[in-house]
Amino acid sequence: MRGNLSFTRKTIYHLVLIVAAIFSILPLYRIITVALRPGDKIFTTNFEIFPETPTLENFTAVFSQTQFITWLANSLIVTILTAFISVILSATAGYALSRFRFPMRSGVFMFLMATQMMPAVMLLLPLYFMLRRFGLIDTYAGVIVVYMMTTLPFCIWLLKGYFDTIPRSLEQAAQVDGLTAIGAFWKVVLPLSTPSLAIAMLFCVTQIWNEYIVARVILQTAELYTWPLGLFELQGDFDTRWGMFAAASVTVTVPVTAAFLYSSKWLLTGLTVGGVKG
Amino acid sequence: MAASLDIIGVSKAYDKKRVLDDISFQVNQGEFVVLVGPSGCGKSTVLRIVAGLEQVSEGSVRIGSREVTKFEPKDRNIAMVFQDYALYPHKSVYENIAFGLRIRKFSPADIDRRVQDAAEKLDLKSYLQRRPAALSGGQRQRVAIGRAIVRQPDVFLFDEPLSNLDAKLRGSMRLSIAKLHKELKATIVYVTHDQIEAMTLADKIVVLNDGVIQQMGAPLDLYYYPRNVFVATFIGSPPMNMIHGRLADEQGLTFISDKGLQFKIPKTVLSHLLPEARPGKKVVLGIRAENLVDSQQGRTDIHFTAKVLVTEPLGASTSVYCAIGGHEVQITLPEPSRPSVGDQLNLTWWAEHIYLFDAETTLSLVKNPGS
Amino acid sequence: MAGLVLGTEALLYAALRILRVRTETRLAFLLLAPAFICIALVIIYPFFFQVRLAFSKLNLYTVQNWLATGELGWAGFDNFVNVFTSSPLQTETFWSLLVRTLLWTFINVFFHVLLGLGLAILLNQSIKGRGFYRALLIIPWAMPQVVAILAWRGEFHPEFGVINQFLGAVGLPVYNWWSDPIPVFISCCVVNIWLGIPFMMIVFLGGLQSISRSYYEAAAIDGASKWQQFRQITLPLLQPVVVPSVTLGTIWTFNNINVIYLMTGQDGGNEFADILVSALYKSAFTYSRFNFSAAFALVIFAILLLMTMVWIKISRGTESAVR
Repeated sequence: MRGNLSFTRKTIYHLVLIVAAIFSILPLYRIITVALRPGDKIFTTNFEIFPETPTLENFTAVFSQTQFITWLANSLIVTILTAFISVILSATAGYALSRFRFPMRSGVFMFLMATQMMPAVMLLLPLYFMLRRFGLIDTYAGVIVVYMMTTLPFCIWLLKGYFDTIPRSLEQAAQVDGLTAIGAFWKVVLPLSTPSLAIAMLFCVTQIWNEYIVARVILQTAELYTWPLGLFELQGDFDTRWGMFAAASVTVTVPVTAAFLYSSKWLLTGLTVGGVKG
Repeated sequence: MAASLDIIGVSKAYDKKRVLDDISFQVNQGEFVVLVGPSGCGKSTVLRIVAGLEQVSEGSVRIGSREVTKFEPKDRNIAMVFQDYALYPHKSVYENIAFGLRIRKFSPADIDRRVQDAAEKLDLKSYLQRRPAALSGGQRQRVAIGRAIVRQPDVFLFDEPLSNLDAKLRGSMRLSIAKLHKELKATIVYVTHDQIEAMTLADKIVVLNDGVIQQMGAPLDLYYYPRNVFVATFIGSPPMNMIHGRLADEQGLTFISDKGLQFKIPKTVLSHLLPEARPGKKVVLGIRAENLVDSQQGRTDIHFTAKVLVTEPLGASTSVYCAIGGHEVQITLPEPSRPSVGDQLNLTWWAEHIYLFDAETTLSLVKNPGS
Repeated sequence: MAGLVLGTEALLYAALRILRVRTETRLAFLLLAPAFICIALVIIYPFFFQVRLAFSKLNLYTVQNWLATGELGWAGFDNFVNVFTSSPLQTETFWSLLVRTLLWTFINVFFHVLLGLGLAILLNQSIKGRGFYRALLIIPWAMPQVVAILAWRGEFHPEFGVINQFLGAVGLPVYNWWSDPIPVFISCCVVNIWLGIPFMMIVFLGGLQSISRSYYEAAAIDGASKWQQFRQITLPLLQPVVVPSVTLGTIWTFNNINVIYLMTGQDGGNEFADILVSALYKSAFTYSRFNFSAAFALVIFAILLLMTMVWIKISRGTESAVR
């Protein structure tokens, strides 16, 4: 506004931001140092910035002595399946909500808004029993079903909001050109909605990839664990596996965080502008 | 109360890039000065420096007898009308206008009096309780002006206030601003890229290009005696036609264009030319659209034949694009001339006034009687 | 599964056709159907099932019987009475949980907004490297929550964690963050605040950046100081952004199970810091009190519903006042 800020102003700003930044990355940084510490030095009470003798033995231990890779694969399968199914179903539903007038439309809106308020825990118990009844406990299908509870309402609402911004004249032009209503949706509206579809996908992925509580209830055998469950196998109250826990954590965290940061500008505008404007 | 304004040697640079170069001009008490120039010429920067929204790299600003170069905007006793009005969207019209007074702790009675006064002057009385979002562009403009008036500042600053309005509204708002100036006897600095606004509103015009003042003076001064090609083509509508050529001696000083069009420069004009206007000099000849008329009405001996290419009938006049000796020239012919495409016109120069410029330096080769 | 859905679709189509429903409405229903069948299965039916369970006698001992015969028993309002009078866990009562949940929500959202706004304002200034700071400050949001929480738990370890090491080094008192009631609660708050700041920061930053510079300039010319500009321009113009994000933040905080559950040692841990939702989870899956838990869930749901309705009323009220 007035050109340059005074020097003292700027230094104060930088100081505050540096302190905040340190506070932000503290846990991640510490986990990395623990992961790099050799076995006998895991518990130290000295305040070192970087381990004196960094080693990768924790990382190799994680990959050779545990089922970590299996757990990662499980997470991958569950996440991608749920994300795909959710987005497909939400796209059609969101489109219908956006374009068509039908009885009970506002009722449906209210319902969608209300379900976003409910955490998965709220319905976890009845879902658990339902799954038990059908023998779906300890299966991919079971956990996917429960995850749909959290992803569907948000994705429908997100995509509906995006479809609202596409002018109806486009579909009308397409229909004049010879497409049916469904054809117009498939060939005209959907391709235009790729940004929002991508965001919905990304939202599902970030929700489910990191999820712990639901997975813990549904998945029981170690072979089927998603990686958060697996991580708990490695964490005790600071027993000898703390190093491996740290290494496993780092392996998962770094790519996820990097991906988030990389896409953050774009992702955040999509989520917050659409989500907050409500 | 209105004060004088002095800009002395102001320069401004952003990261090594010079945006303003040694700008100096004076605005007398009660004068209406217009800063005009193309986009990016620096005129808005000058205005913002006067307002205190930007700092100078060099130079100083005085308002009245005070040296305000280092002052904050709020201490300069100036008011500004922004291009996008900058009306506080969450406040009513009344509160928008009263804002500056409230900050300065004027009494509610005082505030009310001033706001009602301004609303009266600007025909806003029935809108006082509305929010800006519920107003039209012209109404918002008036609220922005109202906000400036109530402060009774030393200097009014206008930053392209009419550019967001449609043509018709622009005309009537121009009149309102001119009237306001007379009523308030205010010192006004007005920035625009529209030379018509400049010509009609200003007591004095400052033409800027690329951060450098091209010329300063009264509107008609700039019209008849532009200092260089830039000012010549900028002022006047439609823009002046420029024909490149050279001067030669053919029984008297003669202009010969690059495409062979030639005529002898009248003796009466010769005395107005600077000594640099010699045979052999490469020059640019300027012809205003209004300068050429039908041969029967002209007052000089210089005649041209023109072939009509395109006509744009405007009602009271016709804009004609024609070819004169290989050059495409735009001229304006008043009623009752109604030429058609393909016609041959006989034209002559309207008066013994010539626009001639040095082709290399672009400076005018005509003496300016005023300076 | 897919076959079931398609089959239902076909039936639905036929039914709608027969009922002579308008083409437009028909198409709408067909498009909505797959998603809503899933929602019916995954949300609506479980909800009603939960209501049934809340009135049943299902517990650890009667589960096998139910699986075999489908019998649930009828317990009347006993479960609901238990919710309010006995502890879902071992000692914490419904009321202490409620109070703690409200305290938890209020404290967290307060700091989320305060610190998020503060950081957003800083990031909005023109200083070098703000893109870099912004990236670092988003990391709490970018990291997987489980990892972050467990890492923080490690740092709160009374002996090996960096918190006590740091406090000791500068001469401040040291606490047992893992077992003393109030320190446990405080450590959970710290972690949750850490988790929630980036979201608010980003939302506020977006809001700040959308406020046109000319408002501030006009105010500066009108004589307003920086503080007056903040109160008269920034805050009012941020309001459309603040309201939805605070609503979301409140709901997320109220429902945040991960932090409390993981920070207090999960199933075998202590209950000093439990809030309503974490107690709900534990009552169902640690203590296997199924019927109690169902009733508990419905009570919490009612509370959430009430809060949302009150909030909507309030925000509609303030919105129309501003407009």
